[in-house]
Amino acid sequence: MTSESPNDGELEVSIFGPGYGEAIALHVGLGRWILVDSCLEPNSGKPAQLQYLESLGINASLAVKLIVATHWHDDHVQGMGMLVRECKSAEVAVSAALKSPHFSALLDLYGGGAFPGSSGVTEFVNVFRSLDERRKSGTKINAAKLAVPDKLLYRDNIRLNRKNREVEIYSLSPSDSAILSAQLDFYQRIPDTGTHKKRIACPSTNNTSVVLWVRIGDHRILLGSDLEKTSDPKTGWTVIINESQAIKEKALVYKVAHHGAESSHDPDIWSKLLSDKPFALLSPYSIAGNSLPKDEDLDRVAGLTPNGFITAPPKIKKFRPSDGVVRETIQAVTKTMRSVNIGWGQVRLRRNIEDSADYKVDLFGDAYNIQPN
Amino acid sequence: MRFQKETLLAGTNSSGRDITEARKQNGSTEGSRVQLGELVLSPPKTTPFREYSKAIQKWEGKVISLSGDTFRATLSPIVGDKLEQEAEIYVQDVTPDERSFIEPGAIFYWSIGYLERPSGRVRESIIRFRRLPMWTDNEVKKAGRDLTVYFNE
Amino acid sequence: MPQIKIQGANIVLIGNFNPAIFHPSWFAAHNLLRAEEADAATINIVHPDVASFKTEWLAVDIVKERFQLGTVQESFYETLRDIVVGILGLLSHTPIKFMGINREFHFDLVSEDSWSGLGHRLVPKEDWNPLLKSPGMRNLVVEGLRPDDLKGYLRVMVQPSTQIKYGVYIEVNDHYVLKEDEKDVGGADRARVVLSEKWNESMKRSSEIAQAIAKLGEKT
Repeated sequence: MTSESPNDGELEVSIFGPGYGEAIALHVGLGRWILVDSCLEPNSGKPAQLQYLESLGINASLAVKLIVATHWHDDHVQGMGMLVRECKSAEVAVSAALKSPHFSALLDLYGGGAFPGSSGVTEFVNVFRSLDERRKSGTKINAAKLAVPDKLLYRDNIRLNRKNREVEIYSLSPSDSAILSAQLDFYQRIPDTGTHKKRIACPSTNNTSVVLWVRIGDHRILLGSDLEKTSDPKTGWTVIINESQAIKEKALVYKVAHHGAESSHDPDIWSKLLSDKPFALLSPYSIAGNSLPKDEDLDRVAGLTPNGFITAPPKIKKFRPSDGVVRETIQAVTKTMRSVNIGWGQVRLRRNIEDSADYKVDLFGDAYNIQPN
Repeated sequence: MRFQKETLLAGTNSSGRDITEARKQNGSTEGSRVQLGELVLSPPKTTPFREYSKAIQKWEGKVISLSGDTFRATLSPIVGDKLEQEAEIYVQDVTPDERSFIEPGAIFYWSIGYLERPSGRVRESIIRFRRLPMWTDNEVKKAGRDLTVYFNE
Repeated sequence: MPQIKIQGANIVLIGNFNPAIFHPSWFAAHNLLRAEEADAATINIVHPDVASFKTEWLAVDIVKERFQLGTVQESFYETLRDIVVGILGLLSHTPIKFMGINREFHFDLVSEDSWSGLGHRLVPKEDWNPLLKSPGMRNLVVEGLRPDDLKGYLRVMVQPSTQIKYGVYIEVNDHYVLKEDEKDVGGADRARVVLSEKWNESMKRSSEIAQAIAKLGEKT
């Protein structure tokens, strides 16, 4: 996936995945980058965005200005600790739901070395550790911003051809109701004395995800994280669509929420927040026998825009090990066994900040256009 | 009883023996030489290791759900093929006294390979659940620190 | 191509221990070993000065200043780590100054040429021939700095294998200093965090080092 870095006046949106999760890199102009979430590139095991920036010859410790962790689930934060450590000039933003004594307790219980291996919680321990290191070294950027509705997380002025282009990044969620609900959830996850130690399970709902609204000059980008549609008008997409003050225009680029799942599809997102024929970006995800996006999800997105792209096929396939002993053993011990999160790719959009030419799309690895041929 | 002082301070290499002893037995996991007063306890005479195993494929698994005679789990590779897997595993392949561990979030290891014994090579498939001491009152009560310093507001 | 014939892993802690508590039944009582494993353990001794026993796959050797658990069964490497993590959690006030995450390998180099070639590559004979008659490498220890920002070192030992004809024994000692300074007694909590977080990286690195050394014989 090597190529040339964007020029100073070029905006870029790149999405990487699956790699058990997804990650996004934004170039907002003048060599300044914003990173959203984190996942590990399968071959190197390094955070995908760092790998990418390195391939472009970019010094991440200077170029990255903001890192946003949209939620704490395993599939969006693998490698986040390393991102914060390496990108020393970057502000960090996390969901306001995490400023909670109960989340703090979970960090101590599940992230303090008691559980070998990594998880969403241990990545946050690493994030806070990196912030500690920054504090000790006297770096001023040593605390995280809290994402709440309509909060300005980043502002910049990109001066191109003697004209200033404003860059603003707003968080649109989580809502107050979602924060309270998350904090109750954290409390309920604190284990009881005398129970077995097991890995903390991620919640099945994603109401505390941080959705981002990005303005770069005249361009708008909506990054939907994993936010879901809910019946409660004070949570999920409904509250954003009905109450957000930060959204004043429509976005031409949409990172489709929650891997295109039906649970995150709200027609009002497409009619009220997005321009006609937006560029829709997806990454696949498989867990618990469910592979997202499903065929009907892809059909739905393809029906809404001809510009839908996904980083890799959302497929699972039967595991066929090459070793005969392994093959025979698996046949005896398992009812089914499938390889998941196969494939790896990057969808990259670039355009000049100053003109109205369309986005140029580059597809790397297993990425493809979801429009049926 | 004490080892030679230099041995103890020699570091954390296996068995703690003085390196200049040239580690005649080539490997520590067969036991250490200890001296207790006049009594000297020696490990068994050096012989080839009695049993040792090699994994062809090994995963760390996490239980997602349990249903009837199988449980569903994600499998992250440790040795062998590098793809993530999902499997429905028969409960009967878990040793009976570990079946109570099968609940969402539980971690286990599944290793497929060979066990070399004096009597010959044996194919093995071992599913073993992670065992950690139960949560203690002290651990749960003292958890939680002030995170204020990590946030801007 | 050198083949690993036997390999093992062990975890060594240097600190202050009470060997008397480390009876197999204690392990079972704290859910660290299965009850059946504890019952079937072969106990050499459990005494205030020393504890030494073996199960089907685990070797336990503990004296007052040193704690070592190890296995030569690859299926149980992660279980070994979990047991030590569990013990460190139970004994969180134990002073622990150093920790070693160690790997041992017996490689079969197959031919005498490769075997003596490796020895010659590591310890070139030209300098020794004038000094000794038929010199041969019996033991080589090389130490390097840690590749991360933790205190400690990596120490590699290479010897002819006593288990395999034309074999080489390689041990990699991944040593961590857990105390901040001379006055610091270190701690089990620090050891637990390092062990939990560094295990995968340590195992991978030690394997790569050992494989690279074993292959040196092929290049001569």
